[in-house]
Amino acid sequence: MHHTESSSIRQVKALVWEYVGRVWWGQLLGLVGVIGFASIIYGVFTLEYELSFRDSEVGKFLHFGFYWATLCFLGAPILAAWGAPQRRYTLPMSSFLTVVCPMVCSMASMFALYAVAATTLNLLFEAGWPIWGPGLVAAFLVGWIQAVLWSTSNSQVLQMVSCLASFGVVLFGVVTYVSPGQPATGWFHAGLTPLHVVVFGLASLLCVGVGTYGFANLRCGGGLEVQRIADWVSRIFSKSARAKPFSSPTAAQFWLEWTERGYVMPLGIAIIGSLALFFTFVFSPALVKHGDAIEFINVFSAIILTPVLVVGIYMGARSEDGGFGNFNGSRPLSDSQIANALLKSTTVSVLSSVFVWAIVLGIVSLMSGLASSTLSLPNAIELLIGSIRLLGIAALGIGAVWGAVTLIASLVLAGKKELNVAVGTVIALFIVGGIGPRFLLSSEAQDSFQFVFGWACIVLPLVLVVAAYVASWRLNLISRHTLVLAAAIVGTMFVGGHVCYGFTSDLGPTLAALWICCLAPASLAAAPLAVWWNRHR
Amino acid sequence: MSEVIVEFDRLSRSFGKEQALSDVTLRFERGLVHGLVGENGAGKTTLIRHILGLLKAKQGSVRVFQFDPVRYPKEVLGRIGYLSEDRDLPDWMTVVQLMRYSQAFYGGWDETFAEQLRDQFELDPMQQIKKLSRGQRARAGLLMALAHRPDLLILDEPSSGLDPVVRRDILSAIIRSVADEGRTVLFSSHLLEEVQRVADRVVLLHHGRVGLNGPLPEILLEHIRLVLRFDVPQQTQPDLPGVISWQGAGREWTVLCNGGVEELRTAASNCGAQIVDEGTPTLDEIFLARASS
Repeated sequence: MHHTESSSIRQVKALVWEYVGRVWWGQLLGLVGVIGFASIIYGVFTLEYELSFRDSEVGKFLHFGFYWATLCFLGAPILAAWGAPQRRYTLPMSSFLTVVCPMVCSMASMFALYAVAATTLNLLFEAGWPIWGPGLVAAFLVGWIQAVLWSTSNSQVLQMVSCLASFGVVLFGVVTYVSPGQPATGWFHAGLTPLHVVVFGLASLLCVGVGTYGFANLRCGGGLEVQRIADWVSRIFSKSARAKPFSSPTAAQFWLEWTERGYVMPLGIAIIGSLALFFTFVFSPALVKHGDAIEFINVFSAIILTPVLVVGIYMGARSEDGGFGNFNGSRPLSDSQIANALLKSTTVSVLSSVFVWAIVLGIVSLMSGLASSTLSLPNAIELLIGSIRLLGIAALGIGAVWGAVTLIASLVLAGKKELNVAVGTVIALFIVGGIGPRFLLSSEAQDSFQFVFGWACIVLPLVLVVAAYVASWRLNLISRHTLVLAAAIVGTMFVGGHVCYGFTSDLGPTLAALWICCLAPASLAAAPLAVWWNRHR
Repeated sequence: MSEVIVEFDRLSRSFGKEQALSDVTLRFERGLVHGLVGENGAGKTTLIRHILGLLKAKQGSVRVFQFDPVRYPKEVLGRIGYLSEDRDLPDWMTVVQLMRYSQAFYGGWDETFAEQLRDQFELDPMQQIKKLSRGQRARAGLLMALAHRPDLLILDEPSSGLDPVVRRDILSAIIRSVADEGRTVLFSSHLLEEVQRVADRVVLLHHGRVGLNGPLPEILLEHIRLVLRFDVPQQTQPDLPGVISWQGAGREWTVLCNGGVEELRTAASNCGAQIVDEGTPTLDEIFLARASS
């Protein structure tokens, strides 16, 4: 007798095949990114400080920090793999099966990838990464976010708010209830118990339930009433759009860049800053009293921001294939004008993000000062010197951040394939330079290799910046004004750094600061070059 | 000869192993409606993207208004109104926002005309683009392409998503009015009856090569449809000169030929066939015959 497969099994097989086809490349890149990123740090700690990570506080702290980065590196391609759920509304499948199959694939992938990353790092560095507990939590988080995203797919704002709110609630629950009394770094390492497995099972059922309900509701045209509020709000802003025309094409293009993606960074910083404030004041008032709050917030935020930046790089692409698109490409603007609109929007983003961040730190400083019993106000001289130093820090710090963010924006502008190649090359170089010599070369050869590799890391970026400027100049993408602006940025940052750190007495830090300053204006040439490359294929 | 608006000179383009365009030499003149036809994958959109500068001419050259569209995007695109096949518009904008945004780029934007078109196309100004139906989205794109009265109007599959009333009445009227004002229209379409209705010149692309290029009346006159009746049933297509397509079986065959009608009559007569009917083929029939030959 010939047994035929049931239609459900065929459908499941088809979905799994689709999933593997869509996600394998992103997962591979994510895995390489996680292992590469962690290897650099572990490699430095191992070689320079000869630290042991297993069962040590340093090891637990590093794992805690990298864990969140791992979630983003690995979770982003998984969550992006399934695309918009609307594509599946007309499949002849039940909502339950349509939701469960992708969710199981995603959760299983997440666990497996985390396990591979952890095992690899444990083998290479004895990093002491536990597998089961954090792996199951990671799997649950991916399943939960997928359920939330699919239930709110009719509104991007709702998706963002729901994910952040539920993430915060989940984190609170895990920290408070899973391992009460343990410090944040300890709860992952508190061994897996049957209770944890049961909780994971129930949590997974919750994911399936929420996802299925939300998907089924939207599938038949339902939707949350919040969408109406979002529509009403957008109509208010649309009315103001009638008011006056744009003063120039570049003003219109700036408006498009800002409204499409420019506002995301300051908004994201405001949300993360609010979360950080929430955790500081509600969960750790002791931190505020002892003045450690600023350090906590900076570490907390760096842990969250770094992987979010990685996710943002890929979500900031202009289209699914990273191409320029017919609409954007056919604007009657030169390549330089399009690039300048992007740079202007990114500059406003960076400055407003810094402003928002300063407010967050200002609030924390004020609360720490009020809570402290030894508060004293500075005198006028101290205030003046402090203000000048602050300006110096701002010039160097904001310049460096601006340079990094605009350079990444330029890479995104160049196209998805180019971005993948660039990111993959950088990670590969660091893996080769960071851990390769340790296993392949003798200790004398390692020293020589690291000398050459170190100098290459310093010289190559400078060469690339110069090449970008030369290419842009030859293609008439930049003008003398651009060169003057670049020189002004380098000069301002260098003077600012000198004011802060006064490093003329020591050549090393001086050259390092000069190197950072020279790289900062790279995007002024890279952005128009990226537009020229991607717009005219 | 009118001023040449767009000029391709031996343009070739490949994507990997696939040859999208092969040695294409064409000229589009001012004040005419140029129809660009061809099967899927013939190279129509690739040709259009070269005009817009979205593809660099790697072999051969492209000139639009005497400019290289890659080196001078502002000068070229400022005079072009473009409706893309995929109706690529920013989803998050409302109709009025999109009008305001587009107005900034074109010095010739006619606000009164834009409002008139918006009213004619029945577009709610406060509606978001992503919430428009396919047809409404096409109309929104058409509005943006027309409102600044471009010197060159490029429509890539304009009828896609439009209902028959809009296609017949509005689109044809728009195309004719643009040309009557001395401006140039280039549109690609699969609806050959529509091309036949409005185009002055037709270019047929086939596997990246130019199969036909010329004034529409001449193209139609150059081709003739004949119905042949043979004395003896024919098992296979008879070998007759100048025939580009055959249809039929047995005694009666319909042929489409390109020129050399007298020669064909003589050859048919020699094969024992009578011409029982003859007429001018439609552009559709010519296209199908060319595509399959």
